[in-house]
Amino acid sequence: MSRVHPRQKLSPADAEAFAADVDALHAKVRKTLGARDRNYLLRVIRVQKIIAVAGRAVIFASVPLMPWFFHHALASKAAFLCVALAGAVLLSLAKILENMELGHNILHGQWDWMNDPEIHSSSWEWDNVCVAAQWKHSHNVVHHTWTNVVGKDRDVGYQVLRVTDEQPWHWAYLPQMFYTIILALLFQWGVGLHDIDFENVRNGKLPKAAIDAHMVAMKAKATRQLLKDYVLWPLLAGPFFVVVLAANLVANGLRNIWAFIVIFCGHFPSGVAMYTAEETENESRGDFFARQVSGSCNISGGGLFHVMTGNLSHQVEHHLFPDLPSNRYGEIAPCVRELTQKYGLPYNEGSFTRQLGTTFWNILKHSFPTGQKTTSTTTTTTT
Amino acid sequence: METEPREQPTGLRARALAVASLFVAPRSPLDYLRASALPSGGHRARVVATRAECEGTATLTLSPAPRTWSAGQHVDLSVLVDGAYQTRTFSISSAPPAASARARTFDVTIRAAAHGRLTPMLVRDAKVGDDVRVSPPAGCFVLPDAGAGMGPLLFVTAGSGITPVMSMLRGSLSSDVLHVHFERTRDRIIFGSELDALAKADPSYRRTCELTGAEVNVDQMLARIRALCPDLHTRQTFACGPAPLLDAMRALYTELEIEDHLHTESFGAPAAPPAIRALAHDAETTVARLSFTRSQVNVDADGRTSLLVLAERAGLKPAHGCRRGLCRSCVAPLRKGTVRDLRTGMDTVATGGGVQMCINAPVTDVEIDL
Ligand code: FES
Repeated sequence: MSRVHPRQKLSPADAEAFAADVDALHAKVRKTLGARDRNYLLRVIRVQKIIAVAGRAVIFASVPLMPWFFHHALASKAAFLCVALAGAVLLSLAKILENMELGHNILHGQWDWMNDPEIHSSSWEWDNVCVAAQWKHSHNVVHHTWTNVVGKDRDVGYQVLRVTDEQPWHWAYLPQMFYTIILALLFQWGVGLHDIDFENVRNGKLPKAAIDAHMVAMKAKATRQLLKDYVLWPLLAGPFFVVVLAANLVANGLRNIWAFIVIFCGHFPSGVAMYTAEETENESRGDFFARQVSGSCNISGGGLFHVMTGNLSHQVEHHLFPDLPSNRYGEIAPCVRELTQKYGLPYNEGSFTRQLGTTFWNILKHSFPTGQKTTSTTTTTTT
Repeated sequence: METEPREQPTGLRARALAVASLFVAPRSPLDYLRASALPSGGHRARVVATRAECEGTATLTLSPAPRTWSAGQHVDLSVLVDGAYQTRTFSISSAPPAASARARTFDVTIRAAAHGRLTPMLVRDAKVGDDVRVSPPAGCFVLPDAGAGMGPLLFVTAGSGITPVMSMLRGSLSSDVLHVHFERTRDRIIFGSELDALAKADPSYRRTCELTGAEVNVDQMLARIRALCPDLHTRQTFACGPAPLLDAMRALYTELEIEDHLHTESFGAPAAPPAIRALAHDAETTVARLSFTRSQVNVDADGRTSLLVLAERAGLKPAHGCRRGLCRSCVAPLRKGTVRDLRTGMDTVATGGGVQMCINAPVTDVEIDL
């Protein structure tokens, strides 16, 4: 079967059949959810807590290894740095699991079928500065509805970067490689502010009251988060306050970088399709699903890798079925791939290096005024 | 969820928890203290004893007990069935603790519903050590001050309608009580011997058990009540049983102009959803009635139009996002009835959870808390 260009629409008949196939797969999985899935989630929760406790403990264990204050055989600069770093990495792994495999997926409502009031999208809160309720809007509603529609999906460039030719170039994008690094390092803050539509702030369409309300809620959440990692835990170390603070900073930073990488690899490697608002007007369900497929990219890898990405390495499956439990994405991936073949849709999957490399190349390339006049070529060549 | 913590921790413990929670925000310190993987909160109880009553009926003793309850009240029990919690309402059948005392355990008595899924499972499989969730006790089918100052009482119970009344009888009653119990056959009588013993020990409690056979006739039942209780108008009446009996009693009491003497509680699983009235092939057909309880709006549903669209047509403005079943911003509590996922054809029965309004349509009469 001939390959449909990422942005070409399916024929109306194909679109309808594709939507029916997607719905059927959804129903099939939904019907078989049960104790096995619940046990998986409970295991992740348990492991996450153990790693979190271990991480904090190891950070504290590094203190008596400081050769400047303790004079015993084990104390050395190298031992201290290794142990402190190991603690920071463990804590960061815990935060990654908590934010991605737990927070992201629970807040999507993937586990709401359990009717468990304690593990429910309506009540869950996660370990980062972003307020869950605000994220549920910016992500579940805006991003998952308008996936890759330039001007509508604020995830396209995260309101600061130019990642596609569809975004008009401006000289301010020239140093955007530098912005990228800043965004990656401070990613949780980017996510926290993401529900504010900065376009509308600039043109004055967003009432000040709305911005204030956002900031009040975010400030309360961020205060608790900062207090926890940068005041209370460090205080427990007494005079060695700085050690714990630094380790926590590293842990949060690593988590930020990893989350940034996974999320950017989901939608901006090469070969991904971007859309204009006009193209998606009166979009049928089938075309909607086709856009979700063409606009998402998978990262290949092993089981542990998938868990550490919150199974967002199965971005295509996630965008077709954002409310199905993440542990099922890998299982249904072959069916999804088969469906895309059946309808001639792309299935963008690549190694971590490929997806990350092309994502960075994409950002670097779009710092410059690329492809300003080519917007219409893709659509015309396909007719 | 409207589950208040069972016990507000007090004093030192509360302060310790408050400080600890600053260290583990946004989780709770209890998550880390408990061995189980589950985050904290809500009411939990464990089955500490099971007792077979008559055929198809069992009593579960649960611990810990709610701080207090009034005889006649009920709780929602949620149990895990293949990974998901299912919730049903049961009357508490044990007596509430005396004033200022605390109960360690409480009982619910469960009869397996003929076509039920959950109750037969509970009666058959529930065992000591099982964990359940328990809502705070609720319901206004209660006897104030154990009936003190209410004058003579009449209890009318049918089938498992005995359970809330049992909680009243097991407490200390301070009135003259006449109890008329209906049951189909003798071997189905729940608490039979205990009630006999009670009647023997306490002369102010008189009881009679009426067997109806398989064919239940409400008019006959009413006639029996009137025959057994000539002084109906002098008694406050507490009746618990199936809806048709209660409806008939309400009509009778209204006719006698003593409707303020009648206190009722209906029991049993909500009637099985009537076979979907032919999933309306032309859009005009009404298959169900949809009520938005909080806004007090009722609309007709055709079985194919989503709750969200129906709500909007009725002038409501429910929160929503994608309108495609993806973002879950349109979830609203389903209080009653069954809805069907228009994409998958899967039915959801009200068990206290929420449903996505944009992709579900009513199959039976439905109540949404909106
Ligand atoms: S509006 Fe998005 S799930 Fe219903």
